[in-house]
Amino acid sequence: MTAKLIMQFGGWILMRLATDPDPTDEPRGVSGYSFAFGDEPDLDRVISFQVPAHFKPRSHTFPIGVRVRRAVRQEDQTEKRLPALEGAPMELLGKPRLENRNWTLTPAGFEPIVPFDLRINGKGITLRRRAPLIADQPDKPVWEISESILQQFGAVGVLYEPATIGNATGIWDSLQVAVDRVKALEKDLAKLEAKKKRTAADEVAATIIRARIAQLNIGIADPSDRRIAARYYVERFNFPMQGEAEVQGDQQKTLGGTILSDAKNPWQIGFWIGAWDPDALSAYVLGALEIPYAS
Amino acid sequence: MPSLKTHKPQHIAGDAPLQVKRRNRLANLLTEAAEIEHDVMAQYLFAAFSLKKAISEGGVNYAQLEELRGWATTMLLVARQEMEHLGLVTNLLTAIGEAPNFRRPNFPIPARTYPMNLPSSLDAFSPDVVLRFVCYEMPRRVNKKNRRYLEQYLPNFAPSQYDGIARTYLEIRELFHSIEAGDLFIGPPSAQFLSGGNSVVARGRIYPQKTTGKPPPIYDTELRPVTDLQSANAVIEQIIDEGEGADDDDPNSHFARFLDMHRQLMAETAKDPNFKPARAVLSNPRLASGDEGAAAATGIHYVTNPDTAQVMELFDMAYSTMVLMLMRYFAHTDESDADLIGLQDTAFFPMMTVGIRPLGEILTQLPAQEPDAEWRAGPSFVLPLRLQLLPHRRSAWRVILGELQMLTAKAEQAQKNQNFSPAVRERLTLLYENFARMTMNFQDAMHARKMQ
Repeated sequence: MTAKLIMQFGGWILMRLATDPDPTDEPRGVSGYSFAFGDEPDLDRVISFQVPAHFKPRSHTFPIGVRVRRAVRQEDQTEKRLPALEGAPMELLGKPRLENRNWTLTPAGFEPIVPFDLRINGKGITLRRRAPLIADQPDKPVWEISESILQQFGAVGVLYEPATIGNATGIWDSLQVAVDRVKALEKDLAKLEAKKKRTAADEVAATIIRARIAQLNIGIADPSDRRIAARYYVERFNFPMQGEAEVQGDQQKTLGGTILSDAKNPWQIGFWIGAWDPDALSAYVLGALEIPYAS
Repeated sequence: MPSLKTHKPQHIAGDAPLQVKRRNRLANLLTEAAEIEHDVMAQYLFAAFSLKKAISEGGVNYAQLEELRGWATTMLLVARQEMEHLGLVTNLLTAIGEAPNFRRPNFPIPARTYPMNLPSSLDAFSPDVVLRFVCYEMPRRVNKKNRRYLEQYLPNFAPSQYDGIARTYLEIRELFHSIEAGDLFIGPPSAQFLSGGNSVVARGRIYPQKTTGKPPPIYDTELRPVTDLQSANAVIEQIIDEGEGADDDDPNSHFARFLDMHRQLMAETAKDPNFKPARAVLSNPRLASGDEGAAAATGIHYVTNPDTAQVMELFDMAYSTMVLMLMRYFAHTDESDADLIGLQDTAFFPMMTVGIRPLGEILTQLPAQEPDAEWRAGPSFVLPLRLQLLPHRRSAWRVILGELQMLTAKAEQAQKNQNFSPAVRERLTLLYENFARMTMNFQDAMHARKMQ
């Protein structure tokens, strides 16, 4: 049996995107249910596995960061743990976005993440690989690529999976999350309003909190609203990564062998994104990456 | 074949001349209702596009920007529901065997044109404009509190001065009841368009599911089929409830939403005299014709900045192409389900969302004149004279494809224009890519039917 490196990964991500029926590039959010408030930067659609530099997530956001949870070399029904990779932060490089563009590229829920350029920063080892939509035309613009190819790399629909979400995140009651969030924000607001001398920054912070509370309350009033219901859904992805790869570090020492990363040996990745939290503009990711060994 | 002179018409149930007269009246009212829904929809969109979005635009603070966002959300929601009403009226028209009506006069339109006795004009958001929107959506009865409020701004106010749209729909309902159903609902059920589980379910679409067992509303809009008196009634009730409201206390009616907006706007303006929510957008902007004298007389304002004119031209083309596709969609002949999906996938959600709205928003940020006199441009919503239903499938699709290709070519030119700011160019680039993609998708649908 060929040896395989298997990494399980997961964590909360940032996904600051406008939602239908807003145009894809709506910067602040108007008709959908996700918004940039106050002095927050414009919505950028970028999927961030780690908190970007100079950016502060909203208060009460679950800690952002996707990490390798478990890494093993698997061969002949035996497993050898790889501590160099366990706990390693994972990043998606190059401003990856869910590319649906208001259904012009794919139906809703079937969109790919473009570009998909994954880097894993372990101890003494860095792995990086791209997953171009067309292996020999990695720079072809996404809007020129056929829907059938996009869907090979796209999600398989927006799937209602409350148990998947509950088991992964501990969230079984989306409405309760919103109710608790409102309570926490109201406390924050009361503190701000109790200040004797409020600065301009305090006023902006209060504006943001009030806007968040108002949006959460829309969902609380009607839990079938996407502000609440979205947290029970996942989008599942599964595709080969057969683009350019980079491996830096002592593979023998950290990985227990040499991995394959040429065009004939794709890395296979499968994961879901779900538990979308439109208030925090974040979501949860859980999945696994499989890499073949040469030796 | 009998000669025309000797042929006697077959008996029609009931009082035939009266039935035909009522039917014609009904068709006329529905045709006018379609124009009105289209007319107010464009005005609401125009006002929404004129609202500021950033502190850097001046005249607003962060808290006020949140209010502005709420107003924009409301206006876009109401505009979507007016589009829905246009679709529902079209379903009513085709159910009785009449033609859809997507035409209307260009702006500005004099008050005497429609039963609400108010002019139609593309204007930036302001207290007067919001008050006009309140009047468009006037119910037949207004409670004391609202009446007192409106009396402050409308001298000798009485709802009957403005409730023309409400009265129109009530007469439409009465006429539906007064005509023999067997003679009335003669249109093909396949012409009915409905949201959610419609007759042309697009592939792979997943809509939010509710437990009511009926097609769920999509983004607060719900298109229902009309096949008999009961379904016609339901559709008319929906239009009345969402517009003027089942009663004047309905907080979700368009009337109540605009009245609330007016109250909030007046309160904020009283609190902060420096509050300026809208960009300085020209009323009824049009592409320059050089005929400035006539423009002053008719309330049209020509846009003379050549770069802005490039974007206006794009808007005009995108809008007329969308209307052309809607005409064909609702009056399709021998299109297959796959063809209809091809039209639907281009005309509905994408063209409105990725074309009309971004272009409208961009225009209200661009200088209208050369040299810049502080006025901004806006979407003209001009319907060219030639725009009519293209009756033959093969040629209609070829004409539409030609329009889409020209739109893509113009968008490609516009995104290369270095005179635009990087932010505008970025939006225009995405727009070009989206138009190009929509054209490719449409072309694929044509190839599938060997129409090229």
